[in-house]
Amino acid sequence: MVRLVVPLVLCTLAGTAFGQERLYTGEDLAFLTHMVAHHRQAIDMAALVPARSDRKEFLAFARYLAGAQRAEIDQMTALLQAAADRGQAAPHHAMTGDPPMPGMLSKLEMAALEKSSGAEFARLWLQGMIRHHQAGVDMALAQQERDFTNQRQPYGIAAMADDIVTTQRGEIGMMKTWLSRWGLAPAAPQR
Amino acid sequence: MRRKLAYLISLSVTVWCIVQLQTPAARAQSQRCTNPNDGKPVDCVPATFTTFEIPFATLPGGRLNAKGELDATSSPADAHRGAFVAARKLGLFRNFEWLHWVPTAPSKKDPATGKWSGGDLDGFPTGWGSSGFGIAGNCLYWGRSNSTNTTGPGVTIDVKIFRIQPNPEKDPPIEVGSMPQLTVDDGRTAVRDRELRPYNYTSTDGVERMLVVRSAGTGAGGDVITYTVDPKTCLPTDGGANTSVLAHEFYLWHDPRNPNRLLVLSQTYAAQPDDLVITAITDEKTGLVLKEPQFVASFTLEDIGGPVRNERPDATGLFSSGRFVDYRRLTDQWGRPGASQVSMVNNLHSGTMSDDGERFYAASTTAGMFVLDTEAIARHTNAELASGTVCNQRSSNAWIDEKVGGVVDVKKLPAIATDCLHPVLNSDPGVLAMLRSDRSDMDKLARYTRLETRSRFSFNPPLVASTATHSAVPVPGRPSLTSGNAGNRPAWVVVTEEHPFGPCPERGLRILNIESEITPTVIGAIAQSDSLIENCLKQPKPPGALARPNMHAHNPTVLPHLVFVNWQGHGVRALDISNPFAPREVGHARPVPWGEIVTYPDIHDGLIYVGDNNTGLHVFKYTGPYADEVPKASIYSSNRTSPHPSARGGR
Repeated sequence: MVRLVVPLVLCTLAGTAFGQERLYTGEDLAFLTHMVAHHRQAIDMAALVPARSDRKEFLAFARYLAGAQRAEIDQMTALLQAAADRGQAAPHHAMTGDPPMPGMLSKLEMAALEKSSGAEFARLWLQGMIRHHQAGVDMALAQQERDFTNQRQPYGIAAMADDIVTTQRGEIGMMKTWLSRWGLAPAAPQR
Repeated sequence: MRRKLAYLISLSVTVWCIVQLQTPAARAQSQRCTNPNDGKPVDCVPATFTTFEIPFATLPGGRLNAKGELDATSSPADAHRGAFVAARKLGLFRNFEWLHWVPTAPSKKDPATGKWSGGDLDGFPTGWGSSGFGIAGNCLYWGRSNSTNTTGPGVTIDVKIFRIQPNPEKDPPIEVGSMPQLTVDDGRTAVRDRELRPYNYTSTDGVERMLVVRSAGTGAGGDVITYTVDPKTCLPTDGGANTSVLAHEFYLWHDPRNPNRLLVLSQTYAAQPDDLVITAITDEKTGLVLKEPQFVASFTLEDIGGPVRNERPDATGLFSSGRFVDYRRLTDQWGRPGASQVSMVNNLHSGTMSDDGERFYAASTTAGMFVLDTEAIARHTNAELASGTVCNQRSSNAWIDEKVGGVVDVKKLPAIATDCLHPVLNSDPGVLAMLRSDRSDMDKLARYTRLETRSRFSFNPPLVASTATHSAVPVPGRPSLTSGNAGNRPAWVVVTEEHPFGPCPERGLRILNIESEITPTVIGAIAQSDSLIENCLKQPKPPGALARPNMHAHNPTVLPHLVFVNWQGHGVRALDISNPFAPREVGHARPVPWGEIVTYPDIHDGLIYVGDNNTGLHVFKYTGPYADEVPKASIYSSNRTSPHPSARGGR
């Protein structure tokens, strides 16, 4: 994902929607704003791992995940800034509810995660991140279908949506394997 | 009198001929030798860009009629014929002949309007970015980019399998089958075939075998799957064996010491925590495709103290290696901001293994191009490597307390040389001697850091190119003449620079000198004019074009003095690299409707085959300088640097 490519730069097959028209629709801006919030919780979850696990692959994954999500936040923030520079400030989306978005962990679940350690922590973390990632994939899929329906390729967003779908789906498969291999939960089918 | 008349006629003809011959040149000369600011004549100097300028303002981006004019209602036959007419009118081919166009994505006709859309004849973008393409024997595999964003939910195009005909100049390849497209989400989401590598080989039991490796995913990384293929029919005979590795690109290596042994080198582009993962896909004792591919070794640059992934700048915009230029306030003709860069990905994107397997030329995005020592892989069996006694199968962690991005532990640096895969820097005798000397740790760290930074060539910062170093392919047949080069290692590497999805400016191609493998340096470069921000911003939209494709140098096929490179929206360019300090463009091939050529230009028996995301399969013949280097009876498929016999498979 960031991996993916690119910063703001990621653009796309731009298409007819560009020209002098607005850079983004309200739905595009909402996608970016929501995905930033969603990614932030993944970083918070990754930060809990080093003090609660000594599995090398788990530590490496948490570090890698936090870096990747942070880089995507940077890219999405830059896209929002590019829109703002062209007079399109992102509408304020007040997040309410607990959890505020599908797939995010509630305050209670985050507190339970923080208090846990060892195998219990790994189980809660992996199960929580699988749910979190699946919701991210669903948001990206919805964006892709919206783009197709509206015949748009919004600058920077199309590639990012593709990438979120692939990468997070791959990571979900790996986390399911770990749950099974580490004896934390029944085996789940791979992607 | 008769003699005088004959003399006068002869003189007149001579003068007429001279005028005819010189006038166009003189006219061009005078046009080129005028100061554009005041119109006054000036001394001639070479043009800044001696590359073909696509006439974007008149380049057709959609379906054509028989006259080569945009017409969404034209018949399939006219649309096909008209493309060749338009290409001739606009001079879109030089030193290339456009032999065949084989559209594979069907168009749909709207009965109400009579207009066609959505297919190759319409120049419709069925996806974007890299697409799988490969040739072995007479079998050609072409997998589309397939993006749900462009084709819509549930719409995919299968991998098409073609057979190249006995007279390939006269007859186009014919479709002989397909591999079903992979989908997810109950068929709603398209899977992109990013890489396809077919290969035929004879195992030690004398059996002619064939396989095709596929990397298929919905985005940056794809599952690497190996299929056994019937060499007579070109068709897979099984459902494939999954390596459980996600690859963005991969290299298929065949061991010259053991014909049963084929390895896949997956460049993950951070689709997973390792940068490079090597997997055995065949049984090294029998040559059969393994049902469960075997992990051999992996490499991760940041683990050994290299630049960390997804590096962010400090509050002033300064990265550890400098500062990017920022064009985001500018706007191009498509309404998009100019480029800026907010992070450095520092992931491995692509690479090429030497034929002997002892070197891997890594294209590592913003971390640059560097050379890996892979001698352990070449000199040991898979079983020996798996035993863990030969070398470390995974990269050592060289950071204090294993905290990546913290402080490098000098005492751990010598151990990197015992990793199966490590940069040539880490086994350089001088570097090892320095690390073992009695210098202070601080002195060693400072010296190592300078050398490490210098061992990776990167052009950014300051230049903006988010993927940055995209491909690295060594120049074959022209080894370095330095003393001690017993391995005939190359002197030069061709590197392309990716700046995907189009924000201005675009990026080009460079040639690096690697005579000192630990100190790569740039010696030559070539670009299209849109590598200049001001030219890129003014580039008009071609009429009828639905979307702007990628426009940077992408995958180079490298011969000793000649490079064919897909430059995506700019088509295929032929470059003369006989003087690697000054590469020059010697041919161009830009089919219409406008599209995105996204595959390595594969060579088969003297002809060049490419895939275009918008228009399908094309076959060209190169006729320019060094045309004799194009192998007439063998295959160069993808980034291989030596020909593979074509007289196998599909015959």
